[in-house]
Amino acid sequence: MKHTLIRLFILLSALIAPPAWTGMQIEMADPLYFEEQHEVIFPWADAKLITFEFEAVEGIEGGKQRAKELHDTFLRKIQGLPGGAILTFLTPEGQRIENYRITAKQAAQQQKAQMSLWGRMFPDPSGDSLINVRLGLVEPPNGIQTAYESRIEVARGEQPIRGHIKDEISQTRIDFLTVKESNIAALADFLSGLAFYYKGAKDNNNRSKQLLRTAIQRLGDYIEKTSDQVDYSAASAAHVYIARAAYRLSEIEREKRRTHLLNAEKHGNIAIELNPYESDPYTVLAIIRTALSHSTKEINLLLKKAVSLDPGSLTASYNLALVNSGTGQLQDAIQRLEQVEYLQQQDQRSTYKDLDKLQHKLRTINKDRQSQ
Amino acid sequence: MESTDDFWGFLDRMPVLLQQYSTHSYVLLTLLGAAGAILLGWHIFKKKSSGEGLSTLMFAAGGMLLFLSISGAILKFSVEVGEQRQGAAAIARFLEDHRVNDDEHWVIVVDFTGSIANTGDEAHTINQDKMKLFVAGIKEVLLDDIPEAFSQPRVKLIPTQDSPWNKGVDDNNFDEVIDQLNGDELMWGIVQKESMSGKAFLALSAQLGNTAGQDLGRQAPLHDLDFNSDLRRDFQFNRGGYSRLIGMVMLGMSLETVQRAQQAQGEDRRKEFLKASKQLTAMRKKVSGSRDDPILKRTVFGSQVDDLITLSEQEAEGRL
Repeated sequence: MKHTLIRLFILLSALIAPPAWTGMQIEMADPLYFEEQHEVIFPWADAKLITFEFEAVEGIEGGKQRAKELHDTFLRKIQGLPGGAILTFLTPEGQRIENYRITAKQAAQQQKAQMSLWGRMFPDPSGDSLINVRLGLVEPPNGIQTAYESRIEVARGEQPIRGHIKDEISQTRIDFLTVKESNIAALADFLSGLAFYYKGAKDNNNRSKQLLRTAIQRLGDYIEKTSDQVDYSAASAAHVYIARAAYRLSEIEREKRRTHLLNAEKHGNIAIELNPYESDPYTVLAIIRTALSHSTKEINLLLKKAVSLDPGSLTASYNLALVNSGTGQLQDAIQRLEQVEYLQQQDQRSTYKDLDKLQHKLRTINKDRQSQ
Repeated sequence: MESTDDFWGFLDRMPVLLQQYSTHSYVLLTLLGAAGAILLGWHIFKKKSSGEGLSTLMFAAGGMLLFLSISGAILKFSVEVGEQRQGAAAIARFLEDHRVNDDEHWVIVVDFTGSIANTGDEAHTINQDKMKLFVAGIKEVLLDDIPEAFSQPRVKLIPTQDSPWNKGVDDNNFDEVIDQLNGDELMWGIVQKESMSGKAFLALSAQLGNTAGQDLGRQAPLHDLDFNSDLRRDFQFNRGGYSRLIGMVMLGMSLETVQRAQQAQGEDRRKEFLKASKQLTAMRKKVSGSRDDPILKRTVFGSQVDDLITLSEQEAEGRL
């Protein structure tokens, strides 16, 4: 019965109010709601955000109201985004979300959402209430990458080493520390910017161009609107996504390649300044600078930093190994690949299936060089 | 017949007299005993020198003074020993009830409402409710926001009543409290009765602090406390209070992992150091927005932690 009602709601929404078609507010009367299996709402969406009412002190219903506001604002901002959708889970008056015993991540997985958002609200009767907002990237968007090739001279001629420096997005949670309720619109800018990036980063075509431009615009709006009270971590994340989007634009609009790359580099640098402890901006900047033909030594330093800030990352270690081989530090590259192998074993996954081949190649070259 | 009655009457009053004497100080008992001894000594001296001692009344008075002083001192001493034993048993029971286990990372919060209202007062009950909400708020922060690289820490509220620290916890005894309760980190507060405001502090155990060397700041003032407002606000919504709380707890947990790694051998050692390096970097990432905070600068972002990160990375990469 419940499922039929939901289907009917989607159908009616599509017929009566097309703009609301990509959003749905769900009131859960049953505290065991998430323990039951539910139909995936908007199954076609691939930039789907699920949000929950903000937790608030007992008796204060402001958390529900703010969540509804965010829902409506986000919905307006994703108009024209194919595959964009939002689901907001609310409890009936007098009930609180914390009784629902579910993590946002689990709910997002159930609903096959890419992003989940939750938070806690501190009501301030005399003015702006405060909200701590948490954004989880359950299924992170595509990062960026660049081809990397180096040639090592040995007795039997030059040996090419080829691979890709990849930016696998490791920052899967972004904390917005204390957003004022009046800044909900800025938060919606960030979220919609990210949703546009999700879609824009899927392909490299003309459609993507427009989506990536909107992503840059929205994330820029977020930065501007929060400039009086900078949240370093979230602002850094906004800059790094702008850098990614600009890099992707450089691949689509070849005639403006350098302009886009320089813009990407600028935002990558700011992202590092704002949050020097996050590894992703260093990898992103290394990729951008590789495309801008900076020296291998410079790229190497950035990737080294990325490894030290994310010691468990397979991709960061692999990237460094690749570039190490290019700087002639073969022994370091071999050791780094051994670390990648170790991390793969620890994580019980085989991200780099051709690891053996590269390891063998580097060992042979190293042996040849030592015997020269 | 009359004198026999007097004698029995005197014996009846003896326990009351002994009780009374046992309440005197040891100094007074010594003086009274000395007076009795002098009277008896004088009596003997007079008896030996002139064949006639003091009057019966004086002699009896000297004897009674000596007897009552000695008995009173013995009684007083035995009562004191009994009280001490009872106190020790109560403390042992308290520690047994509140001591935490070794398997998890414990943040112990000492109830600091005792100093601002008397037990039993309505104000005390209200403050205790606030204290419980405050601890619940701290739990929320730690359970919701600790990065995935960490397991979830445990938080326990400990009363001060019937504890060995019923006068409160401060800079001088926090190590003793951590040690006796087997905790990893301790939070306490100092609150002024008049203004109902004060400050909260958090300290890592000496054992954890030593992992990073003697110079690591392991005690941190967290944030101002105001019992007239909602205590949760400062630790959940104020960037400074929030970052110091979560930063110090993550630091304690990372140091615990480093310590475990240092004691491990072979493959386990590498695995534990990999975990430690993930935790140390996740810790800094989490509070990077407050990297200029003076307390976090000398703890979470301190040079001792730089050294630990380097060590952990090298061990995790099998380079040591």
